[in-house]
Amino acid sequence: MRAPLFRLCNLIFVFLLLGSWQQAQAQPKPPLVDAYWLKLNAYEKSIWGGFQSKLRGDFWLTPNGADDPTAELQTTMDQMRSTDATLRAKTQCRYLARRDYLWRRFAWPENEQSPCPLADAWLKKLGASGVELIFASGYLDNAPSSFGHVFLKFHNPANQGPLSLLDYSVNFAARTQANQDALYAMYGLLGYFPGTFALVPYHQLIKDYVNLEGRDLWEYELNLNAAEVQRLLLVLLEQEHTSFDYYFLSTNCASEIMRLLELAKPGLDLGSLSPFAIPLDSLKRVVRSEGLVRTWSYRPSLQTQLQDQVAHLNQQQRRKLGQAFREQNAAGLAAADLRVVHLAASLAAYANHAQWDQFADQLARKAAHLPEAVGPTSELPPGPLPRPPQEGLDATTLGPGAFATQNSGQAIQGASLSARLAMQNLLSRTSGQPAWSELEAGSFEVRSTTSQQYFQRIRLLEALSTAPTSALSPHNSWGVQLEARQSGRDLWHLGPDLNVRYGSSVDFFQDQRLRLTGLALVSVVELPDQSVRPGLGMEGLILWQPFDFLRTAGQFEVATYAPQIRQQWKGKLMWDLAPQWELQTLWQSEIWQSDSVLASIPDLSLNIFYHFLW
Amino acid sequence: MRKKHLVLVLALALGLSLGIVLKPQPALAAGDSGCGLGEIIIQKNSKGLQILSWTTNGILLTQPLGITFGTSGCSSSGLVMNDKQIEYFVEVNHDDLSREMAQGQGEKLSTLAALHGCKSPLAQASFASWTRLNYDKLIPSSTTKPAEMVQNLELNWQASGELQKTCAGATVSSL
Repeated sequence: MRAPLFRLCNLIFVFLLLGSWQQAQAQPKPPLVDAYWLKLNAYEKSIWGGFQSKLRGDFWLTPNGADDPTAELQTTMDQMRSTDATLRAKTQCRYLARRDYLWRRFAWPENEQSPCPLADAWLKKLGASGVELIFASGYLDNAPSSFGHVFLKFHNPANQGPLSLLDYSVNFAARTQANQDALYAMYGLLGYFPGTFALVPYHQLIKDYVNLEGRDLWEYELNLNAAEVQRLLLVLLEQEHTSFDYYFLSTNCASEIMRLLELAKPGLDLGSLSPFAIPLDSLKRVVRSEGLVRTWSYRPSLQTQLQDQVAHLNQQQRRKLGQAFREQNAAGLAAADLRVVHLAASLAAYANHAQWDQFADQLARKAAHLPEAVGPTSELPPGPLPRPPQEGLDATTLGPGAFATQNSGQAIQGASLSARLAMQNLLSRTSGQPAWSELEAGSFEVRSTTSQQYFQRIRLLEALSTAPTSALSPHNSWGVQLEARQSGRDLWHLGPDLNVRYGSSVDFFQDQRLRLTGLALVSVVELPDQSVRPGLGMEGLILWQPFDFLRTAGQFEVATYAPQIRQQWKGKLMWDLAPQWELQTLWQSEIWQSDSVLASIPDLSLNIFYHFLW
Repeated sequence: MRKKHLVLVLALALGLSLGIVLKPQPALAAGDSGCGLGEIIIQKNSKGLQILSWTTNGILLTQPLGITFGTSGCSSSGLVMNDKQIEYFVEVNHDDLSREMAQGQGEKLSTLAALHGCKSPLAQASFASWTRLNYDKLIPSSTTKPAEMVQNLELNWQASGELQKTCAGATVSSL
């Protein structure tokens, strides 16, 4: 009797064993480290295999925590639930975001959480209940700001109405140094500066961006609940002593602000792990994430506001305004010129020239003593609302097309393909970027004839700012081109075409539809005989937008590369076909001459550009 | 000869670039008072071309984030202290406030009014008119410093009578 029973038990045991083995096979044990943990600690896949965190500083619980996410997680779990109450409390209150993550993931009992009164008091004082994403438009007077900027604003419901300016913002940026040597400009590209988060009252950033830099702000209220807002703040607190190696193209405001939002609302994909991070693209990803944005609003730059006010003056008022500034004397402005006095006071204050201090003070007192308290903005209709940045063209572009040109006197034609990583063509319609500006990084054009394929150009960078010079904006125009292009008889041969340009632009109308730009240039190019020479020259540009959907440019450049001279003529037309589609036609003629014409290269191309987020 | 041309042009290009990059920065404020923001604001207070500088999307402001930072100037743990809100706000927005006070209207001036307890739009408008009427007392000269403006504001506010009563009793609950 015992033997059958024994056999039965053995059988049951084997079945149980098999069952549990099968179960183990069907449901493999999940890896300890998951995507959220990697993102929370900014781990990236290393080119050597394994992981490496972007976080710097005394942050890790294990000696190799920066490149061993599993060990760091295991140690965190052990210390968070340690039997040593002091260690447990210290770890939990130091790593608030990790604690939040672990309790959510493993559903550990709430009563195992230690109190963290310091953090609780800080969060209570901040009083954040909502989050806004703020986009500062591109600013081409400063290359690092040319792609725009994003930061977050935390709304405290106690700050109603005008007190909302006291809300706090979180800005991620490079922490620069006071000493600026010749390599200073390269540091941001090479990861030399530490990138850190900073907490700043919103009114302080408004002063920086809206007043001093003349950048429009776009404010997007995000649909985050209280728990998600709290989670975002916990990440910031946890990483308050850390920094990142700031890379202009990859680890910047866009990547880190998007990482915060992805951590706050798991499941979001805002491209924080993309190899390139462009603030304007990140903003578009946020807006296109269904249900993430509740509302948005526009805060024009002070420069835009003042320009709008000037536009509302009649000819006589403008004359008086101009005269007062020329003579640096407000005596000629009568009380009847109420609006002119106020506007003059604003302009003088805005100009912020030390030599104008007395004049600005004189105007301010005159405005204060006017019989009526009517400012320059009273009774004026609001200025036109520009197209919001999310409605602009996406940064990355593919453009199939056709071309016809000459090489060594022989006509050739065929198909072409242009591609661009980022971000804006001179003639593209702009949203969130300055009008009539160009910022092309990482682009090329491949051409194909019946007999061969070749690169027409490979462009590392083409930047051109044509901000107009005016009393309100003491901008100058500038440009940089780093390009290699097809040169000489051999279609596969690429020669350098590098230049730096500096000059000035002027608008003929208030609505920026017609602009003239003049630039002096220093360049290095390959000549028809394939020698590479430096040169000096000048460039003229006329930019015209006859219709909303059509923009054109005429360009002339002449430069001397003694003893040769190069003339370039270009005519360009850009036509909006659909929200992300454009048609470009480009005609250009390049003439090399010394005592006689050495080479004349006409070129006509037509491309259809499709824009998308990469 | 060709090398000479190359050197000359490269030197020109480098000079042009460095002229932009190393554009002289405004001197830092010495002996700054108040919240100690003068240095930061003066350093950023330039509308000039700074093509290759990292100061715009960069942080000159060293205001830290977080609970473990100590108290300095007007901030504690990275947050502006309750009793320093007006001082801090005026120090940052001195230029705008001067302009808006002269005009008797403006967003920053409304915020300053709300910081004085003027919650309703009507009370804020009254405050703005009051600053315009008292402009010479609040900003006696073109060299009036933000801290002096705050001092003048508080002195005259105590004597503002009816307006103070209108705004009295209200506090900024977030402070």
